[in-house]
Amino acid sequence: MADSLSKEESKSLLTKIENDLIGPIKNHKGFLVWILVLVSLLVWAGVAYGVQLSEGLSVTAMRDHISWGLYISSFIFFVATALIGMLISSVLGLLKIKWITPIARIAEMIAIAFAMWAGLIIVFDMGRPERLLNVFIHARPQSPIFWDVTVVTTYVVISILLYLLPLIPDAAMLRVRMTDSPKWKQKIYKILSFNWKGTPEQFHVIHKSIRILAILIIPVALAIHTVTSWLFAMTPRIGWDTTIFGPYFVTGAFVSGVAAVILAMFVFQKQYNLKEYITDFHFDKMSKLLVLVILVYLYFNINEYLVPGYKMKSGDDIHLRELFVGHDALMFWAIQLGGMIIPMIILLFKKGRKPMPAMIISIFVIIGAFFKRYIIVVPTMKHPHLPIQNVPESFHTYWPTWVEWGITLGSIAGALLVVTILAKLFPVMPVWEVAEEKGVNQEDLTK
Amino acid sequence: MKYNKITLLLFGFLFIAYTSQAQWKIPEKAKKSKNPHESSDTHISSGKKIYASNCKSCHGDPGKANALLPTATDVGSADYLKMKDGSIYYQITEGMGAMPSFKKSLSDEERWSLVSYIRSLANKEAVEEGGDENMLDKLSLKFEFDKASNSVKASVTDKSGSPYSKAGVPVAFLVKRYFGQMKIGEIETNESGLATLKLVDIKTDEKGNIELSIKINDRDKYGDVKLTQEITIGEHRHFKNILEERALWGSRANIPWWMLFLYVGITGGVWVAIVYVILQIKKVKKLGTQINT
Ligand code: HEC
Repeated sequence: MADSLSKEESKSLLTKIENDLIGPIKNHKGFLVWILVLVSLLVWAGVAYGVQLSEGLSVTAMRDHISWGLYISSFIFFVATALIGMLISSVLGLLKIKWITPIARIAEMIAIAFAMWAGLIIVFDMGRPERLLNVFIHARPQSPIFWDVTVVTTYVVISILLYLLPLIPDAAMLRVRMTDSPKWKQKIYKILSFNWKGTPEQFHVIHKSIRILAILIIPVALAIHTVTSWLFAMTPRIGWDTTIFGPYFVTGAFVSGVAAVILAMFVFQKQYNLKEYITDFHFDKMSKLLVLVILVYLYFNINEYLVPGYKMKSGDDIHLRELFVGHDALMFWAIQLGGMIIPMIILLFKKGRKPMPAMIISIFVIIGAFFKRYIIVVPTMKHPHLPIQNVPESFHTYWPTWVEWGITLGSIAGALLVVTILAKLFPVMPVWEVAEEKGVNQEDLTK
Repeated sequence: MKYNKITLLLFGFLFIAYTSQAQWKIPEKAKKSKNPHESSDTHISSGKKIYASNCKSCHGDPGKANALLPTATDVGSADYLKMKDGSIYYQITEGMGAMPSFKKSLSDEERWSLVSYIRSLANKEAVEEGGDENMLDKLSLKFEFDKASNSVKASVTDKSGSPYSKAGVPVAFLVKRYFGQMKIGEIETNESGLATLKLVDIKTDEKGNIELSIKINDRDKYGDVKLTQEITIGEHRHFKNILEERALWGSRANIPWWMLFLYVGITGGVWVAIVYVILQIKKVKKLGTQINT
């Protein structure tokens, strides 16, 4: 491809790509409103957290029995969503699937933002957050909770590196082009460009490093969500005591992650005017990917519910009946049907995979995925190991309070804010890779 | 949930309406039936045992008005004991409302033994009212352990130390355990004021000791009479402290080797790779400077 373009064509194509991708960084239309919404949600969460800090966790609906509620559910949701970075940029990347180039960085931004906030949510769930350091000082590597701390940190670091490495050439380009931007911004570009000159040696080092990370992140990403599932599966509680929790969580993670990327693709395509780069073709491909991951996830769901449901062991039966026909049935079936089966069926049709419908379906899938975590965490805790009598009503019912909703919504806003800031500092696609793909001559890139 | 509450309430109302209306309707014929068993001591004491295991949970101790189910009648009260034997038998047999029927779960003879027991309370009360001396805080306890027979001999004495010769003082034996005191037996004293309990399968601490408490188990009548002592009943034992071995449940210092290797190996391996990549970024920077110069 590269040699099919003449020198001038190649040059002007590169300039066009650069303009297209850098342009939206400067353009501020609608941006302030969006930031305002996010910041006010964050302020609201700050107020809620202030109340929780001064009054203690009693301002949440969590009590002696149900001690894991909305916070832990959102923690799993966040970790799950973060997993998408690994699927897109690493698995598909290593398989040399070309169409992911324009969306890989979007996936990586989601991964960083959600993995970072996942860690914070754990702190929000603590009654005495000032004792956070004790988690490390008195850490026992025997405990799945400590594995989780380890693996989440590692994943965040690798994700950041995977974001930064392909960014180096872009930063160098921004350094040249964004001379009119504020000083601090230029400073960031300067630091992150690491003296990038585009020499073949530099390209070689970068390519090699990305490759190492892309391979490394696969086991780490599998570990992060498997370990998260072990926080549950390593206990003998009804509903959690199952051997398929690892793959069940990992495949579930891909569902919410792919949906999140589709949503982000839609927003960037519209807001950043990237129709030429994120095309219907991409929506079509990602929608097909969503169908695939939902099918895999459904397979695990059938195993997770049909197998114990067929046996109805005593103990299991109370839990399962509550899910199938009891107190939690409405949420359970709404998730299974509205968050998985119906979206999947719609996506099977070509019309369903157009940007608009795919985006709307993704929103349903994301909401379903969020409450799916809730259904995994909370109902199990309603049935304690021992039959305990004469406890207050509030011990065996749970519905989050405004404090919990406030902090959770704030966390979502916070993660979106991280994505927004990244997308305002740097292009949402790697310029040099896109250019290479579109046939810009190699010597133009290594100028 | 809401639905359930409403049904519960509904049933509650029905239940109250039903029970508050109900009255014991004892047929004349049943009232007249006589106890076919002789009211012997063994008969009464078997009735007492059956009462303790079947009835006490609701009715409490007869004559003490300490029913656990507030509506359950105190069958030891003088008021109640005006009932005829036949009526009591009928009530136990048929039940009513919250009072279960024992027709199926207790035999004919067992039910009559209950009648005998309840009836005997009337006599006791008569005796007690007939000038029984006030025993409140008049007695003391002591006990000794006999190694040969592996039994604890408790003796009830008056304050001067001489044995209390009136039989039937209930002495309870309790052993200290993690979460309180475990009752291992209750024996009534004989005419020499003695109550002897054989120790069966009582676990000791490392030194072979237990902390034994004995008390007179009728506080209302005798007051708080209790004695606690550590006694040696067994050999030195050696316990394996499972918190000290290398195990998953151990402290951090006692982490199993395999887990330590796995944790350090995996985490270390991944971080070596991460550090390597970070060094590569430095290399990129260096390569860039070389071009400059
Ligand atoms: C589940 C709790 C419960 C148990 C167990 C129970 N009772 Fe009752 N019993 C009651 C209640 C409540 C009443 C009062 C019923 C009423 O009058 O409405 C009652 C009433 C009676 C009465 C009639 C009292 C009267 O007011 O006329 C007798 C006699 C009696 N119980 C004896 C016994 C005996 C003997 C046993 C054991 C074999 C026993 N009960 C076990 C709850 C219980």
